[in-house]
Amino acid sequence: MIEDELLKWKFKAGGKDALQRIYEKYRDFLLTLAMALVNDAGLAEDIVHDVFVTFAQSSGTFKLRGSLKSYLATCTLNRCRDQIRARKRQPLSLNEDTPMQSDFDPPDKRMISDEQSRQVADAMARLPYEQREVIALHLNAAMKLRHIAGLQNVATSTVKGRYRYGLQKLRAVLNGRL
Amino acid sequence: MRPADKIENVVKKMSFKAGPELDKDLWAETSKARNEFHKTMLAPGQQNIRRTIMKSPITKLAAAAIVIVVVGGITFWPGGGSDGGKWWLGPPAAWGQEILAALNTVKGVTCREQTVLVMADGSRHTSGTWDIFYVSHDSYRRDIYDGDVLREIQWYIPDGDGTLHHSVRFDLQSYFTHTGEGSFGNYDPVERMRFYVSLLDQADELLGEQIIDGRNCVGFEISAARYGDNPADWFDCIWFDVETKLPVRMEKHGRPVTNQPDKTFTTIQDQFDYNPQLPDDTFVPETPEGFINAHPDEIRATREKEQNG
Repeated sequence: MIEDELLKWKFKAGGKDALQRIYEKYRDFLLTLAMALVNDAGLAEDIVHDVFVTFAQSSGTFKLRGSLKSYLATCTLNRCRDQIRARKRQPLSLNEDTPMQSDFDPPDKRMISDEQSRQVADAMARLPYEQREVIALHLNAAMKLRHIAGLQNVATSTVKGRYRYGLQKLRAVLNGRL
Repeated sequence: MRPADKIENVVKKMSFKAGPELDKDLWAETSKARNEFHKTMLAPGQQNIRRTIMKSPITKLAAAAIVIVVVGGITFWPGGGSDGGKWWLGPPAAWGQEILAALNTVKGVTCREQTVLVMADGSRHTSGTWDIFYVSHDSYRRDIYDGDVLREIQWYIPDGDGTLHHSVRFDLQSYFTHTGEGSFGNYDPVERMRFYVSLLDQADELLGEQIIDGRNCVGFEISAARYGDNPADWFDCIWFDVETKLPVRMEKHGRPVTNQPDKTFTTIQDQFDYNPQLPDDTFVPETPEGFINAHPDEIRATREKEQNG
């Protein structure tokens, strides 16, 4: 925690080293969170890119009392929600087929992951978005359920229900695959 | 079927990492954005970008039983029963015990403290310096901000029979450590809450309901003369969340300002977060590399000497 407080202070003071350290420290965490939420490598890259670019531009006017990790996670969450809303607004073309996922990993892949992580992300993509969000924020971003309730603007009991049902579905989807 | 905890562990282990190419691109864009922003910030007339600060809501705590002995007459608790869910209209013995019991379960708390200067004409000026407190059962930490810049961190942690005080000044790039007698008890906001709750049967005024930080709260005013040989115009207020019954705001009013008799100051503690999941190193003093070991007064004196030639 003290490291993050120092990083916030140095970043606010305009230190490029602080920005680089924040980037190195949270880059993969944010990529994982974005993948858990959107399960699309290209989109997750764009989201994390936007989060860091906007964050970098806030140096000097940056003001944060809470946890840096939680702040960046919330920025990522908001970008994911924007992207998902934008997707819903796009009309589907006629005869559009769902692209088949290849088992072959291209050699120039930009994101590194293991097979299990990809399977979990695929399984999470089959959950209703609200349930997926609760699971990703609680398990991947280590947020408390009551904090997530605030982000989703619902009661904590609703979040607990989403978490429980989400895990049940996830277990059913992953059963026998891992 | 996998047990739920195994599924949870599988999700927790999920990991996606930036490959070298992505890493290079992401950092290049981030770095470029930062550099361009700093260039444009040098130009006049730039608008500030405001960030939203996330705030944690108050935790609901379990209740048990401790009895408060009610003494003296109270004008605003008629009949002793609650009125349409307004528990505070009942006698404190009926609900104060729940609050005290809940406070007994608190293992740690964070809050903000601000100072407000009250001028002779009644106008109020909030100090740009404010604190965040982190308090555990035996340790205490205070982060002091000037505006939105962290100026200082002070740790008070047990050291034998005494208390180790470690202070880091970011503005002076210095640190200072010493061990003293006693504890940090006077600074413990939970102790202060207990103290006020035990005094509620002597409260002078029910302040009614008010929305604070989006929560419906009920407040009580207590004269400082109730708990000591204090002037009649010193008074304290404590506000409870109507739903959780936990304190959300404590105020001390009418305190004198040294050498300025026409002014008073008010201290306000709010934004309480009960039992927050603080990192393990919250109460571990740490000194940034390169900071010098000196008391702030020494550094100031040395600088003044240097400036005066």
